Amino acid sequence: MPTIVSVDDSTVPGEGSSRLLLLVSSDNKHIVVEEDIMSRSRFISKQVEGFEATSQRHAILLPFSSFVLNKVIEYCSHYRGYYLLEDDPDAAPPGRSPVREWDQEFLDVDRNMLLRIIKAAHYLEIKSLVGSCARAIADMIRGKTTEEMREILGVENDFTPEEEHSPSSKCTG
Amino acid sequence: MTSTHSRPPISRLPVELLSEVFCYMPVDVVMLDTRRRNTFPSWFAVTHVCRHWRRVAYACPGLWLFMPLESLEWTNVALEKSKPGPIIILADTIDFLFGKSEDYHDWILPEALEVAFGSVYRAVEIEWSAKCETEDEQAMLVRLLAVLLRSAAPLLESLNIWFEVYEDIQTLDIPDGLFLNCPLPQLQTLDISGSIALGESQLFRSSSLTSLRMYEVDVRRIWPTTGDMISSLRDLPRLETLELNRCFSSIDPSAPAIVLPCLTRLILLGDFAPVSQSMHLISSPILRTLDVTIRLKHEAAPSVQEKVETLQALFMSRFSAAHSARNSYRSCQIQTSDPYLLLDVQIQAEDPQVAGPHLPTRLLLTLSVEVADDVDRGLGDDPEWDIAKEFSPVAFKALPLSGVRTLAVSHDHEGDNFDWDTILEQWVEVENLIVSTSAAHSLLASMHQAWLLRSHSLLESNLTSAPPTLPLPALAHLTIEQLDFIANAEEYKPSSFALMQGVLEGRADGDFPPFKLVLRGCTLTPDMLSSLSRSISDDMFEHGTCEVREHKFVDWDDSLSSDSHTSSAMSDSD
Repeated sequence: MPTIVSVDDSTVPGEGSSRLLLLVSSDNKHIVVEEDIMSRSRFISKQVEGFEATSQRHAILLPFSSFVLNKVIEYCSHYRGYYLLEDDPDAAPPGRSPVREWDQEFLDVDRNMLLRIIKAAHYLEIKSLVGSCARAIADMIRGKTTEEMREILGVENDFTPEEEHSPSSKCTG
Repeated sequence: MTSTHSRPPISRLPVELLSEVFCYMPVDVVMLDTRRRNTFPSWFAVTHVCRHWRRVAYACPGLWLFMPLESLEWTNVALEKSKPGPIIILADTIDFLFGKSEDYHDWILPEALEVAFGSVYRAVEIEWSAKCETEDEQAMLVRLLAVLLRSAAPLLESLNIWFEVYEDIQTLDIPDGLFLNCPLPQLQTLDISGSIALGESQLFRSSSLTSLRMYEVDVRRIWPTTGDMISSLRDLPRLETLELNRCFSSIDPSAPAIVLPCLTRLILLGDFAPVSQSMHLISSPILRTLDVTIRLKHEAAPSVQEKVETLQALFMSRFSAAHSARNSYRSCQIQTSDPYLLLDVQIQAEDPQVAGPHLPTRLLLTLSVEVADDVDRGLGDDPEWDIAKEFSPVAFKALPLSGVRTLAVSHDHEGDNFDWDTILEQWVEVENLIVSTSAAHSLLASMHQAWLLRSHSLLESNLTSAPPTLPLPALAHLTIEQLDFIANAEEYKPSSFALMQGVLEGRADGDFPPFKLVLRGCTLTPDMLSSLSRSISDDMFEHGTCEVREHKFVDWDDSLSSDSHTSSAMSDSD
């Protein structure tokens, strides 16, 4: 669970038309961002609702690096004010969300970075970003053989020969 | 068992995330690599990567959503693993057979499909295309259709059936009572195509339907007259798209009119009588697209003109009264001439409030001529060019266009051959000219050529006759839509961009009127844009909806030398 700490007013720039949030990354970088931008994150939204109850200003500590956090903020900034189907609670099931060209370019990063972004998006409960990351990972391995999949994602084959070659319906894992 | 921390990063993802990744694996199921000769669906490979992935995959219904039809074994696995969730059956047995064995076609696929159809009660989407060339194939389709008679499909949202039935085979009957004749409360999209005869079913009584398309379907068993068919649409109050393509019955003059309150898109294709009757009977307060094509054979121009005027009057009665919104849109398409030629004339109109009673403010003409591949009409190496020349005056004369001030032209097939000279001669009153894609290129070429001719004749000081006049003397707005100037520059010399620069030079010299240039949805390089900005003042130039991207022209120098007329402007921007 994240730690929520009270901060001085001086830490957070003065209130403008959109309120400001202070996000603290695991490498202790303080990032100020407009609440409006992060409203796509259900996690942040829930935190903010809690702040309103105490009428205090808070910082939100997050368990990932500023590098990853900045990528997530870039995503949220890009779609600020946009309705994305997948972020709707009544949205289509996983695997059916649309391809967005901007997302594909945004997620053209190395494998480890992609995995960090999907974990951060999952933590922050940003369904659209989770979906886009999942699609990007699936794109890496779609149409590949099992050997190629293992190689691309660095997965070790821990099957016994019998398990590995057993007919599909008899594989129970 | 491998501990969590010893696993590689991908396996350290929470199970729900790995599961979501798996849900995206079969996204491109219809694009499956048909070169694979084994029967292993490619997206199921995740079950053979490691034990952890197999456990997650087996618990992930999304991975098993699409029914694999390459082997009965895998169809059964997917049916089992997807329980109790929904399934999607995509059986493209026409294109999908490329590279497959005869066994697959004759035995494996039909068996797999029969098994999958056995679980149609869980299907949310069925897409089934098949060809029917032989009696054996006909028997197979009949057998599979019989499976669809035995079960209800309460979850079905989309049904797309496309049967290619060859002439030697009698029309294929879709039996009465599909899906156990139970209601289909979720059905939203219904597409049926092919030389088939439809039987009675609940398909056409699904009040949830939002899109209904039928192509070449014999509907006479259900609806003896076109009026009956249209009356039955009352049961579909949510219908937004209706497309009826050569599936009309006989005419019933006494049929009542109906209003479809959600209909925004109506597409009709067929003989003149049923199409015009359908136009007359169906109306909607929010219709945005009316696309009508009538098929005519060997008809003389006066007859074509009479039918065009009838359809135009119907357009006006459908739109003028009910629509005040801008961007209302009408379209009429006529196919004429003999069985080997299709001549399309498309008319769109916008803003009927401004339009006169019989004259839309914006007309869009699309002229295309198609020639059947196997017909040798002695037209030389480039038959389409000759035919376009032959038929375009007929098409234009058939349209009452005098007084048109806004003209929009697109031409998708043979843009280079578009007869602009004829058009520009006829419509000297045009103030707003909107051209797109290849038509834009040929227009610019025509304007540029006219300007060059005039310039050359003016340079010859001993003029014995008046210099040629330039086209479009009333032009106030020139809008170019959807033209990729970058791709065009790679393909054409002189390029559209070079031609446009030439026309702008003519404008700057006062030869062309001082029209405003609007680029809409075009693609340019930053250099092109800055070059244009220098040629025309800001208040006379709009390009807000264009894509501007860098591009390195491989053959740029050659392009400059061949485009000598505009080389200075291009060099400036380089």
